[in-house]
Amino acid sequence: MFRKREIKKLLQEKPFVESQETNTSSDIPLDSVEFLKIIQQKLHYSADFKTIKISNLTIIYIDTQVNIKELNQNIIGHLKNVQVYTEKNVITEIAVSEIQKSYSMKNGMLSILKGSVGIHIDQTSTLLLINIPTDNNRSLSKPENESQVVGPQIGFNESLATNISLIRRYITTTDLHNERFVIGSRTNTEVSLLYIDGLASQAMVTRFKEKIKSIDVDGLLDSAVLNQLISDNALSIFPQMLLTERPDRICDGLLNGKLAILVEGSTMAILCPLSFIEFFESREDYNVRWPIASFIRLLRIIAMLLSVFFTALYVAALSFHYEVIPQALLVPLGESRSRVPFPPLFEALLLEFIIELLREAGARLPTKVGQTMGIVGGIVIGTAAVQAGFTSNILIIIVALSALASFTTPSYTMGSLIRIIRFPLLFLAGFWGFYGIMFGFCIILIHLLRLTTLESPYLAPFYPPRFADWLDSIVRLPIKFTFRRPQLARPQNRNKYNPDKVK
Amino acid sequence: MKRLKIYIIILWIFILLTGCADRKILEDIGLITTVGYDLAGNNNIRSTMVVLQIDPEAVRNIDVISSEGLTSKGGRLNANLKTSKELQSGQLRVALYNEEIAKRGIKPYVDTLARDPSISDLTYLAIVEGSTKDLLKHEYHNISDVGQQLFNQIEQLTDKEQISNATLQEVQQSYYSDGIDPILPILKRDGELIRVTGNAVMRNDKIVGKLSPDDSFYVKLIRDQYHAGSIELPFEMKDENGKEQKVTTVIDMIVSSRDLSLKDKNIPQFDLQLNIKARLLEIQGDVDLTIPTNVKQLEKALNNKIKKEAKKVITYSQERNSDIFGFGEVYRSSVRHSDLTKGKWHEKYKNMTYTMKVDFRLVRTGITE
Repeated sequence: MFRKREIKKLLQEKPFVESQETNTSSDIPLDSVEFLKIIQQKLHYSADFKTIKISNLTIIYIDTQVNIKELNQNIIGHLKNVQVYTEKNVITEIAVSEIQKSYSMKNGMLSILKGSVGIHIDQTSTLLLINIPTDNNRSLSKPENESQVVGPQIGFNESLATNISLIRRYITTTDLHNERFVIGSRTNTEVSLLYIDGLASQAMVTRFKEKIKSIDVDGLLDSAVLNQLISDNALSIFPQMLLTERPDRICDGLLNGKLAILVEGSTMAILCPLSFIEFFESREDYNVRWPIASFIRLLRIIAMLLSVFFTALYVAALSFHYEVIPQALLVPLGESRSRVPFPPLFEALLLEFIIELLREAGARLPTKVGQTMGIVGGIVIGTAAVQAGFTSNILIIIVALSALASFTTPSYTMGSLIRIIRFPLLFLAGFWGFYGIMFGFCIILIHLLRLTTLESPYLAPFYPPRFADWLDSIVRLPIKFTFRRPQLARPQNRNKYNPDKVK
Repeated sequence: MKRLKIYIIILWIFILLTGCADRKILEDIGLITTVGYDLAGNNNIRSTMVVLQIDPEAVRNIDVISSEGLTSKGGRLNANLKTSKELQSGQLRVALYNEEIAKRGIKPYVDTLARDPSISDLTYLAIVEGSTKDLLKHEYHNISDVGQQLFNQIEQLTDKEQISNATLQEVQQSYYSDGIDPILPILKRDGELIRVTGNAVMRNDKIVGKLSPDDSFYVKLIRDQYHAGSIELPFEMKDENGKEQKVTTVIDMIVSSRDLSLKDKNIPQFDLQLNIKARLLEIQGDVDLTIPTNVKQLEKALNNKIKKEAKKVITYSQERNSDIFGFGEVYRSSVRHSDLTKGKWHEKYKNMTYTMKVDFRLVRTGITE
């Protein structure tokens, strides 16, 4: 198919700029009948492919892709006034800003597929491409998956152009770089790489571009797939780049010298590099005062640890280490356990499985039916399971608590990771007790230490220790103290502002 | 490929080693919360165990099992014959020793507890006047779980500084260090209640004397360097008219500290200074505390009283030849190459002399009528 560089060049062309290709290299036939024949063959006589003939002009388009109203008003309506159809006359007459000349059949076809109208003038080997795509975007709405109380209430939608304009609304500077790539030999998805010149590390930008260029897939339907394709360790369970639908989060990252990638047709933008701890940060932390922000961040970290380890600790303590159970808990724990016929591991697995079922069902069900889930979960699982002697009621509290805790993570990908990672730990706890949990914890820690995000250490700023960055990690100190950009992204300029002038 | 092999090996280890962990599921074991040791005939030891019953339908939460054996662990094995659940002592909170056993020495019975990693170092140890079986087996009217009751009672009293902290770790530490002897509380069943009757003065691991709870206060004052609790003190003092009158006060130590230093290593002779800051909780007697000179008088009287009583206790301990105050610790740290052993120090301790100063101050007298 096409070479990517060629397409990239083409897509970066501005309207009215002559294509770099010369006439001699043109593969567009002079004769309009022959031209039409080739086009139709290429499109396999597609049902939505339409042609209009006005004297020596052949207008071709795909009627599902172009804005018919604009086509009628600004192209055909205007062309009616023209006496002699030369290339120059046609260009001046058409009232659309984005007109392009193409000498290549392939590029022409690609544009037409994306919503351009092609005009071929008989006995010329050029194809005029007028871009009037249909406007079928969803209107902007609240970011449903990453809601915030304090802060802007707007999320990305599926249009790349809209998403970039959202970012430009926050960051109005000439330094904002926007580089376009095309990925997918069949989908030809446009991808935009954004970064701020003078902040983002050039080495990282270069490395990142290489990564994008090396991708060879036939289809790219969402940024989440791209995220997996360009991650340093694609096999790891840990997300190494942030997927977010909040423009303010992306802008915050850009201002810290990070890179952002937006994909056409995807509501999520990718932000990288991102360290482990930053997945537990939210933009809202900067909108509220620092003690509150620090408290919330600590809460999230504790919730994460609780969610991952609490059930495992319960299982281990009840199967192996009865010594550690506080005396006051012995009788209630023992009594609720004595009704359960299963060993603690099986009991915990059963309940975790039920909770996961509820959660997954809740995510898939339509909102109207979704409310029933609460009732089903609350009554059937909560009360009936205990009365039937299926599980102990203390375990229900523990499992519900850890399920609740896993929702506090602002990043959905990190949240679902926490869901999954407790299962191996549960098995380890059930087979080996505290030794097993420690073993699992060590494996996770070693893995985290080895992970990198865009070849920066994933556990920064804790390992390697970068003490200046600790001020804005699990706690957030006042703005006066957090004037330095995190070292993770190797920003060219480390200071955000002069701390002396900030109170 | 090499990595894959490693992963497969790890997975195999995981599967194969799962049987190696010794599983003790909570509801399948009998949890011993309290254990008591008595002497029985034929050199046997009778162990009495309070076992926590985890059965919602059972009337009583606990089960008290007695059995005999040549050793304490043997007693447990024999007790196991009487239960449906395997007896485990990981939840042991209190270990009781009958006075007769304590006269022979409690070391082997303490040692076996310390040897077991599942037993907490914070297990309380205590001496019982009379048989421990009687104390544990008795069906008290108001106590449903005698084990829980004992633990809470000892913990409460230890927290309130009324008895010395006699945890497994503390007793072992005192036993194994050369310059200090352990001190354990003494319990007794008093009708339907359990009473702390005082403290046992030990020489090494043998009981050699008893102190009343009031006397134990002075031991705490000198032994535990930082804090002693409250005490009731009756004494006589002169009122404004110079007439002797009986006064009883209850004082609460806010800060107490001791300075102990070796003066002469040959006799040996010590300098003992007690610094006490206290507040007055109650006073019985005709003393007008609004007059500063009266407060001074009171301080002086209390000072003398404390000095007198403390001297009495130290003399008693010297008679019994048990250094429960830790003079030997100071000796050992002050004298180089002393090569102190338990025996050597007990020889020296008999002849020890000391000078004592008490600096008693009433910081607060509270609201007076």
